[in-house]
Amino acid sequence: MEQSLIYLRRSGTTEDVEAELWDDISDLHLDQWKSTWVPLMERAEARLRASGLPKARWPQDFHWEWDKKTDWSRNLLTLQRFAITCGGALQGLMMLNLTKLTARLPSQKGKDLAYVEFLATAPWNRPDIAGVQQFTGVGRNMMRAAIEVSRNEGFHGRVGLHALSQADTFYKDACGMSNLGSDADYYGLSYFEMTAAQADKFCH
Amino acid sequence: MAEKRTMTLNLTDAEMTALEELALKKDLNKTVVIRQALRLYQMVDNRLREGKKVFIEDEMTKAKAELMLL
Amino acid sequence: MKLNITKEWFRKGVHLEEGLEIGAGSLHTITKDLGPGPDRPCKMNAVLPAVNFGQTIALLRRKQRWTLDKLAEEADSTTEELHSIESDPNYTPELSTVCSIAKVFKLPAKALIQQAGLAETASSRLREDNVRYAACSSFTEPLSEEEEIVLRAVLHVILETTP
Repeated sequence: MEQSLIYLRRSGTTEDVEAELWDDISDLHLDQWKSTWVPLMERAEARLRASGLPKARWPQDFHWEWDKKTDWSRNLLTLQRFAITCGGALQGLMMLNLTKLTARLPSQKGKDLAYVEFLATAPWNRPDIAGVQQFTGVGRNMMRAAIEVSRNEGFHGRVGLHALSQADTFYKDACGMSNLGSDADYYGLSYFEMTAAQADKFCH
Repeated sequence: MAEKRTMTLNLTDAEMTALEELALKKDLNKTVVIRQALRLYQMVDNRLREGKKVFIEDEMTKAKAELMLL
Repeated sequence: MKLNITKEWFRKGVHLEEGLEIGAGSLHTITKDLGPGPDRPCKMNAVLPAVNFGQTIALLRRKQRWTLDKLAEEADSTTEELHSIESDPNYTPELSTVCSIAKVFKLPAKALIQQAGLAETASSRLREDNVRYAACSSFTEPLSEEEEIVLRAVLHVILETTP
């Protein structure tokens, strides 16, 4: 497993700290997910349940089981996994699929792309769970990784994903991706796609 | 990036033509087409070994045809 | 894979992420989309499995021509939870969800709870009933004649086993 030096920002400041991007999800990362993310997610879920907020408005990835996803994907060439750590703590996880979908935008229709199967940041980086974010930048770094994988695979930086409903703004405004609208085959989630030109702009 | 190894691939004219057409159509080089094919083949084989069936669905009619791998 | 990500590049756009959610991906609760998938098309088969709780809910929903979203709205549940209920025979639904679904479809909650495996004294009739079913459940198309028959048989069992 290889690691790359990246940076995360302490939210609410301009202080950028060194962090690590790993090109796989290790057992240690999964242990950290289980011991640090899961209890916070469960507590957040209990709070939401008590508050009476309709379930439709709860964070949509409460029950993602990264251990099962990772175990299942380990022997499959089409799935690639990434983790971000900072200060010894797990800050983000992502899984890419290189054969899931082909591009839908008319300008690149039918072309291969890197599809983001799953992307999540730690609960303490999420405003909807923690109220404040500890670190910002997991999304920017993970999207950069997805683009670089796409380029390495000869897909020219093309990336596709279905954004969880609270995340549309990030993919549209912070990543500059094209929103192709609600996808009925994916529970109505918005489908976003990045062209080679958009990838170049994002990475510039 | 993982270290890569090189091999020689012997293809018939028809196979090479198909490979070149796919590479052109998909905007990929020939190596990537082969790698994508391997990924898909492995994924399909994996599902079949789990006892699943793989279907191709007609988007309009929703008719499904089972994908057979011998 | 080694990436060359500079601090300058990171600083250029990180402020745009401040305060935003970034989650992306499938809503499936477990590895369904990647692994043993519920998305796999089902095929009419000579040997059919007994109808389970999830398939019952799928039939009831489709009978109404509702999407998962619509049922989620009616039952104050979520699309992903209902998807898990309908597609994963091992998924354990929440008691409150089963009660809500029972209310929505005007069925006795007790029988549905038993079918969902949430009651210790699950009706043996329900478990052993040999109703057979083989329909893919994620669509909203009208029920086929066979599915109508299956649904009627399931409802008959549910209603009959409720005191």
